Amino acid sequence: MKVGKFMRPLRIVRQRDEVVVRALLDRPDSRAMGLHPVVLELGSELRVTGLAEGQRRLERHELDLLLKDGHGLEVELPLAVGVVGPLCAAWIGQAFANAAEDASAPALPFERREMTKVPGQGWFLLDTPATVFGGLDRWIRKTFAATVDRGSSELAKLLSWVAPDRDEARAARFVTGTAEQQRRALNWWIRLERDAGRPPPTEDDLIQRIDQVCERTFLEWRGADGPYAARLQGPWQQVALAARCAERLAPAVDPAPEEPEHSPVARAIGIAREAAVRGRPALHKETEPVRIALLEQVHHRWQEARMSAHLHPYALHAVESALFGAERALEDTHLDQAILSMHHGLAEIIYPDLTWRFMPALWRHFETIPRAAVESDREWLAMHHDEENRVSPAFFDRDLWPRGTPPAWEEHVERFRYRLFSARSESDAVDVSHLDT
Amino acid sequence: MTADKLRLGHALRGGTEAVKEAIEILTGSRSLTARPPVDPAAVEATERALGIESNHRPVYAYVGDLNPALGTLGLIVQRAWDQAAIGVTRCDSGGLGGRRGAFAILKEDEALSVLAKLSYSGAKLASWAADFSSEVRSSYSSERAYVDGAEPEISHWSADVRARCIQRAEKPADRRLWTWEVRLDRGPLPQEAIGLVMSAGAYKVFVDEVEHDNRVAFPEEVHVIPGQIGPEGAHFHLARTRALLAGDA
Repeated sequence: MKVGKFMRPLRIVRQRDEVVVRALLDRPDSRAMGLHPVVLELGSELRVTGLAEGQRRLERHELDLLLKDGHGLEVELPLAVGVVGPLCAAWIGQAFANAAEDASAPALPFERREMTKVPGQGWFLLDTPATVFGGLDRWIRKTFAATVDRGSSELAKLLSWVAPDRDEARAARFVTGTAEQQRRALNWWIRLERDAGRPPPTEDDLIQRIDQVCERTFLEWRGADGPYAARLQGPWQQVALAARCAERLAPAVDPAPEEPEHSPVARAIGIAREAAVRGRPALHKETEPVRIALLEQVHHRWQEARMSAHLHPYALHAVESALFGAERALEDTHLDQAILSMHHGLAEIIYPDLTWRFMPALWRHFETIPRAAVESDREWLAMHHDEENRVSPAFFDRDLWPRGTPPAWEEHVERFRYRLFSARSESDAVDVSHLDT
Repeated sequence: MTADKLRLGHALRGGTEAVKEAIEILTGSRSLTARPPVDPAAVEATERALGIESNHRPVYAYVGDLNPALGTLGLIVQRAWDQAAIGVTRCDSGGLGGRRGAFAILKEDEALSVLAKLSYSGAKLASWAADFSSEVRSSYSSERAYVDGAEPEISHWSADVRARCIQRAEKPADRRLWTWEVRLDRGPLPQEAIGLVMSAGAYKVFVDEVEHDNRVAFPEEVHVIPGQIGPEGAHFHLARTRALLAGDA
C-alpha cells in the first residue's frame, strides 16, 4: 500500500452510525402514563439513559435478564439522525388513554400520533427527562384542578397511575374519597413518610399540605369583597340579591323541584322575589307556614340522612335568610347571612364530608364562582332601579351564574340530593359511586 | 465494625403479577420459591458445580444489595433469614460460573474451581458470616461503603481471583464481582421481611392493589420504598433502600 504523507487512520464507519432504542425499562403498564429509562444500542455498546444518576453501561446478558424477568419492554426503534440526549421515554398506556377519555380528563401531554405505538400496550416517544417530566407535571397540575372542581374519583385514580407519590395525587385521592378512603389515604401517607425515614406527620400536617397544594393550584382569589349591603340601593335590592343566593343552591335542597306549588323552598324564594319587586315586606302570616314547612320537610330530612356529623345545612340557611330578609327587610335584610351561607353551602354540596376540615385555600377556591355571580348581580342592580329602589322582575330572569356555572354543578347537585333525600342510612349515604361523573 | 446487621436483598420478577405476588408473600398467603433461571446456561452449570440438585433449587439473595440494580421490585429481609442458608459465595455465583461480565477473563475450568474456593456449604457454612464481617472490615471504609457498592481495597486479595477480575473490569466495575451471595432453601417468612422496594412504575400497581383496597392488610413492619421520577429522570437507587440494607431502622 502506498503510504501518503497525510494518510487518514483506517476506521470502519457503519452506514449511518445508527443508534437504536432496544428497551424501555421500569416496564410500562397499559394503565399508566409516565417517564421511563431507555436502553440505547450504540454499535456494540448498550447504554441506559433517563436515570437520575446519569447514564450507565449495560451488558447484553444484563439486558436479556431484565427483559426475560419482566423489568423492561423490548422495542426496536432506530433514532433519527440529529437526536441529542440524554433521552428517556414518555409513555402513555392504552388503558390509561381510554380511561382518560372516559373521564374527560385534560388533554394528554403528548400527541399520540407523534408517538411510536406498541400494539395492545401503548405509545412512547423519546425526549429529555426534563421535557417529559415537564409535560407530565403540567398535566398533573391541570388534572388536579379538574379533579377538585368536578369531585371526580376517576380523575383522582388517573393521577395515581401517573405519579402516586405526588402531593397532587394524594390530595386528589383524599378530597374525592369517602370518609373511609380519606382515613386510609392519610394513614398510608403517614406511613410512607415514616418508611422514607422522615418524621411521621400528623393528620393535621397532611391536611395543611393538601391545602397548600390547593393554594398553589388555584390562584384566582382576589381578597374579600363584602359587605354588599353598603354598596346597594336600599333594602329591596338586598332582598333580591339574597333571593338569588338562595335560588342558586335551591336545586340541592328542594324536596319537590317538580312541584313548585308544594315546595317550601320555591315558596320561600318566591316570597323574597315578590317583596323585592313590590318594595314591601312579606307578612308574617305568609312566611311562618313556609318556615315550618322548611323545618319539617328539609331540616328533619337533613337530620335523618345524617349526612355528616360535622355538616351544617348552609344551603338551607341561604333559603331561610332570603325568607327572613323578605319579612324583616326594613330592620335587617339578612343579605350577608345569605351570601355567607351560599359560599359555605356550595362547598358543602360539592364536598359534604370535607367542609369541617380546616382547608382555607380549598374553600376560598369554591367561593370564587358564587362571588363573581353576586358581583354581576350587584352591577346589574346598580344600573337598573326605580326611584323607590324596587327591583325589576327582569332581574330574576337573568342567568343565575352569569360568569360561569361551577364545573360539573348538575352532577354535584344530583349526588347531594341523593344523599339528602334518597339515602336511608349513613352507610347508604356514603356509597354514591354510581353517580360519579 | 460488624457486618452482622447487613440485611439480605432479593430481587423479584417485574410486572403487574409480580407486584401482586410480592403482596401475597408479605401478607403470608404465598411463599417465595425458587424460580427458573433467566440465564439458564450460566446458572445450571454453576448449580451443578455447587452440587445443587435441579429439583431442589435455592432462593438467591445478596448480602447488602438488591440486584439487578435496574429491576423493578425487591425484598429486603432481616438477617435472620440466613438461618435457612444452604450455601454462600463471595460473589455472584452465576456470573462467576457462567463467566459473565468481568469474570469472562477466566477459563471455564478455572472459573468452576474458583467457584468452589469462594463458596461455603456443608460444615464450612458456619464460618461464612465471620469471614464476611472480616472482609468488610478489612476491605471497605465502612459497612455502608460496602452497601453503597464501593469497590473494595484489594491490595491484600492477592490470592483471590476476584481481585484480578476487578482490576481488569471496565470502570465503574460491576459490584457482583465482590458482593456476597446467599442461597437459601426457603423464601423469607413474612415476619422476616423488612422492606419492599419498588420502581416508580411498580409502585403505581402497588397503590392500586394495596393503598386503594381496604381488604388488603399490609404488614405494618414492612417499609414501603417507592421509586420516583423527576426532571433528572428515574430514581432507582434511593438512599433509603441502602439505609435499610445497611441495617438502619
